[in-house]
Amino acid sequence: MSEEIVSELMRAHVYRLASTGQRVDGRRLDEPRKLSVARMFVKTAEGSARVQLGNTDVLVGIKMSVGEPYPDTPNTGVLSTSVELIPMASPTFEAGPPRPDAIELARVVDRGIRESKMVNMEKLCITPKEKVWILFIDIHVLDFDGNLFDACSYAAVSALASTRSRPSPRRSRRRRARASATTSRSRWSTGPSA
Amino acid sequence: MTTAKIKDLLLVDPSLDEERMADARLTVTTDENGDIRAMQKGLSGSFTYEEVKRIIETAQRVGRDIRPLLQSS
Repeated sequence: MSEEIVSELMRAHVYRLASTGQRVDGRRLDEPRKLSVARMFVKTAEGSARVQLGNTDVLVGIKMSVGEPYPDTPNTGVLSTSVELIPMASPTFEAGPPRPDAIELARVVDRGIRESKMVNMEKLCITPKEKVWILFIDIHVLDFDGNLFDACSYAAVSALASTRSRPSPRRSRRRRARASATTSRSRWSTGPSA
Repeated sequence: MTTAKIKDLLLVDPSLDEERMADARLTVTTDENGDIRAMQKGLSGSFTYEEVKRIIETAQRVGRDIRPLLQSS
């Protein structure tokens, strides 16, 4: 994330401005960038949100599935947070397994959600020791312009707030099949005229 | 909310350039009561006690402002 070098000119400029209480983009020192939130951005996920913090752009999807609890916490659900820093978002991001900066980011977001107790993990238990809900928070960074910690946290919180569980896995699969059938039909119908 | 420190100055919500030249970074997570739920300090620089207090106060204020946006939009 911070491997790229900032030129001496830029450094001097940013510091000189900041010492008079100003910033390059016109903000005050204690002023965050404009935040915009679009909840339920991905209709096929249980919950989702797209958050833009200035030019930083993040998409979060929540996926729920049923699985086994960890042996040391048999009565609580499982929360799993992951961050994808795709090369499209920044020239410094590379494809491949998550690097330390992505891991730290995912852990900071995860800890904020866990420690705020905004998700009642006990209520995600279906049958103790056997069946619990597993909550996947998948964070995709679409455009990187600084401060992913906040953008990702806001997006994850917002996506969780929009999350609704599906009636049953089988039904939702059928619904998805129907949805994709509709899209391919409409693509066919617009095909000849386009 | 994240604050970056460049030399002796604190910058809330750092942009890409500000983040790249930061000496230290502190993320404070607050709940709807303004209570601290998590904190993460990064990079090799350091914060004074007064600076940490100031960052926490700003995080509480920013948290109050953005919370409605996250819950209904």
